[in-house]
Amino acid sequence: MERKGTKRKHLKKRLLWNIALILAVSMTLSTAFGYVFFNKLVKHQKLSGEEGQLGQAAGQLDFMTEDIRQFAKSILIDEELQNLLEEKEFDSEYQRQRHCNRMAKRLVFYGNLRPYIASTILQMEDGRNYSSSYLESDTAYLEEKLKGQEVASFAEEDGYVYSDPYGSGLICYPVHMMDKYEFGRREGILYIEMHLDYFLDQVREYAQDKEYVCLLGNNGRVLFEQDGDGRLAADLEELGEMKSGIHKVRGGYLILCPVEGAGWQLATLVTSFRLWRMGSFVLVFFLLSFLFSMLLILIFISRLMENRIRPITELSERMRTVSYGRLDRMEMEVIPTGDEIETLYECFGDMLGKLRRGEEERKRYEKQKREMEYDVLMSQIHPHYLYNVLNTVVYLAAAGRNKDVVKLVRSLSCTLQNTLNIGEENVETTVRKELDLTESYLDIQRYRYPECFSAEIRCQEGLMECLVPKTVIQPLVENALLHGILPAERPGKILVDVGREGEELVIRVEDDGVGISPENLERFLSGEEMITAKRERKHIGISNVRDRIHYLYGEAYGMEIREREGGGTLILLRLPLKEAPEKEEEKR
Amino acid sequence: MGLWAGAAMLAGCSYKEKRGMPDAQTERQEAEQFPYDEPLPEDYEGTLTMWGWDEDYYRTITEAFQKKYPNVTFSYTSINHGELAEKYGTALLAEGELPDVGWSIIDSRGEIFELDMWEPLEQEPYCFDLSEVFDYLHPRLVNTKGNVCGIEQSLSPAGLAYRRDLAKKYLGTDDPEELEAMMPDWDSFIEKGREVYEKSGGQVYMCFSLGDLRQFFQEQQEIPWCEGKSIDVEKNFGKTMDLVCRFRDERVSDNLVAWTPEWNKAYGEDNHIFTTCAAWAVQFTIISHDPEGKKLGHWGLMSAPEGNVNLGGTTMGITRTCKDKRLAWEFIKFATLSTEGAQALNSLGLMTPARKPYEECPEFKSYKSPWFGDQDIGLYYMDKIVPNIKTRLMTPEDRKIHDSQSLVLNVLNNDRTVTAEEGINMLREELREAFPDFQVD
Repeated sequence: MERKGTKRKHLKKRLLWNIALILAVSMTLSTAFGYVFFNKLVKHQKLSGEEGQLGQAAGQLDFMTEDIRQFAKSILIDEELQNLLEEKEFDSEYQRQRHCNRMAKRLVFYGNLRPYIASTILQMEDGRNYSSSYLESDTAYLEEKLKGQEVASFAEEDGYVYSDPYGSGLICYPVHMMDKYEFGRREGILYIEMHLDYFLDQVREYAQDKEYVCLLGNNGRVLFEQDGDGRLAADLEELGEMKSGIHKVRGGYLILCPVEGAGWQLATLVTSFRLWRMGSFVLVFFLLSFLFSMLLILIFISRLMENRIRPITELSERMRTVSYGRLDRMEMEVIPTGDEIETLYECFGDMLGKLRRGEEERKRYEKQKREMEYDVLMSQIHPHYLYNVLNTVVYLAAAGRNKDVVKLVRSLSCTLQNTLNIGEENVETTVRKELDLTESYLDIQRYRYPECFSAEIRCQEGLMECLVPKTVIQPLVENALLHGILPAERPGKILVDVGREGEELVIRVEDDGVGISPENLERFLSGEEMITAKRERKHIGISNVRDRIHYLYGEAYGMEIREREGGGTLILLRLPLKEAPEKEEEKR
Repeated sequence: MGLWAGAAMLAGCSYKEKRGMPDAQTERQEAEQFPYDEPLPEDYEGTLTMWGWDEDYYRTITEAFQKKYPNVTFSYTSINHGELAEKYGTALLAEGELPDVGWSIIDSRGEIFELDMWEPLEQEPYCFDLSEVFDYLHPRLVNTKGNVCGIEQSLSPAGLAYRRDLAKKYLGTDDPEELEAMMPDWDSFIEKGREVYEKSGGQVYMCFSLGDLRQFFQEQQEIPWCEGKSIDVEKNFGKTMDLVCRFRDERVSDNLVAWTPEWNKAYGEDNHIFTTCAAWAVQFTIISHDPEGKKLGHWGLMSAPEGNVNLGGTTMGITRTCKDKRLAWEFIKFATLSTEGAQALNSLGLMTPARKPYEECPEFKSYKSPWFGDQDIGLYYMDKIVPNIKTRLMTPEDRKIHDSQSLVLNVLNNDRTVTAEEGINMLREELREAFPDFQVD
């Protein structure tokens, strides 16, 4: 069947595309569901993580405030300081200044133990004021400072533990000094002024990878702010109540954590975008795993299908080759797949074997046919034969035997007409025509070999119109004359008898010549071509006639050759009994 | 085996980190990789810690340095300079943390330089040559062993700053030369001060505080406060005590306590005419506390009676525990010796202690401030004060002596009945207590 000119899609590609499509859809759906679920989970975890980090930072601040509280108490119970405070009356200003100086030095001593302490002030209920900065002690400035609203509020407000009284980067922590001889009476307040940076370093460290962080001091004073566009401040204001925990606000989550020891609040705003960005690894993971899985599956399937489809592809290619008639190029090797494909291969192999044998048969037949036709043609129109015949014609004409010339030429004409009329449509002829041809041949040979032989042709009644292969009797007669009688160098006799045995047409050609050699008989029996003693010209041999009968009617029919009783050769042709179509028509 | 080696290495590291002492091999490698006499690569990364008390200076100079080395960061802790010696001492005693770059103020420098915490800058790999800075600074940069422990942040020549408007009103002129001619010595200054006080009805004083004056008088003496183990109180501090009492008694000076917020606040008021003014005080004191002065330009600078002095000053040195000495040296060179550093200082009205920047850019001598009108106070300091500046040799005992003087001064401030002689006796008593094994006369 002729292939269409359109380009066909490769089976592997088609399958791969289909699988890829199904995979893409199913994996996209599963990835999307997975992402939504895990993103929610991660978001929750991140928020908890953020809250934990905030709590840790607040806890660190809390730890620092506790440390300061303990340190402040250790200052108050310092024996030397307590002894100095016992000195209340002085003989002179010089003594009082010395006292102040010693108090300052003692406070400095403690201040030096903590690098974050800027200064310490001790405000006594009896009006005395001391400072670690000796020059500030007992000055109006110090008095004024201690009267400040923020500082003064320490005494009243329990919540005002740590505060930023001056807005100058210094914060203050107060601790009450009680009178051990009068329970509940406050003797003074120790103010520890510290660098806010000491706390802010912790907050800064925490805020390093955060967008919005805020440390709120007492009374909502902002001690640290990392709030580029003011969103955190706005959200805090909107929230109102400073309750610790996670609060959903517009565009994110506000997390608040108290610094218990200081009365401060540490706050951070985690924007939805930041939360998404923090969880973006989930998306990246899912995308990558989606792509990687797709790629891996496709590669794997591609490789798998290649192995599976390769036999089909190869079979297809081979079939295509067969369809183009290139059987000779085909190397058929069964690929052992152990499944239906292997069966296909085996079937195709069998089919191919049959096709190949048929093709070889056909080719052989064609070749044989051509050779036979050629041989027939060449035998009939052999120039030497014609030359001899024409010489005979010349001889007869010269002898004035015009009637003989006419007869001879007519015989030659009849021979040529019968033999040259060959082809696909003319492989058979009637017994009559074949006997006419034989007769014409014998007539010609009678002029060539006068007195050398006699011939008798007999045909059972009703068989004259039977079909026989063309030029099957004349070659046998020629063979009998040339290779049987003439070599005997004595007059011989040729008998042609056409008879019927059941449904077979039997043609006998006998001569009383030298007979067939055992060697040639063996060659004939083995199906080979026989050797003539003197190959003066090529003739349509006995083998040729035999082969043609086999070709036309099969192995059931053919030729026999044997010694004739009394000398000579007997050739027996067995043919199917077939009548000419005209005759059949007439019979009907 | 590898694990043990790793653990040992980690243990070694943690010990060094704890002590903060870089090993000699690391330093040698650093020196080979980044030679000390060549600039560092611009992308050099590192952090330096500092304790200081002058944020304006710190911010200006570090920002300038970071323009050159953007990957360098600084960590600054603000401290009270009066507690510096105790803080360094505590850190050394308790194996506490010292800053990478150590500041040292003149009041306690003699004592601080004796602490074994400084890299000797005159030695390798620093190879600092004292001749790179002004001669009068040399004795103030070395300890008693002769090691250079720091380099001055800036020159600190001091004269007298005065309110032009008040001077004109009460003294008849605001011209510095006329004022200098009018008051060539402290006697004439006291005389004029009495007149001003009387003329203003007791509202206007010549000076703000006895504290600054005491320090100025003392520097004018040009004598070390201690010689060996001997302190001659009368000889060293007698004149100062006398002058302080006269200034107090004659109402030439107010009794504000120096460096207190009250004292700072007074600079923005119209009750005081003169103040001792080192170059650093222009920014640190006048500009910081007299915001109105910028548009009024009512300050002037003149030479003090009986000569000008070097007042104050802070050095920067490299501590032995510094974690990146190469970077610290680059920073100190930049801040104190380089032309870029000089330019940054100039923006603050400060003058680099190094000679070379002035040779390369003579305009660094010039500095005008809106507070001082058209007067080029930079040129005034450099041309009129520095060449004839009076200095004294510092001693390790200076801080305690200084503290004792402050105490006595507070007594003088608070009890006007205490005389100079009594003051000297108090000082003697204080010094005897502070230096029990010294000969205090």
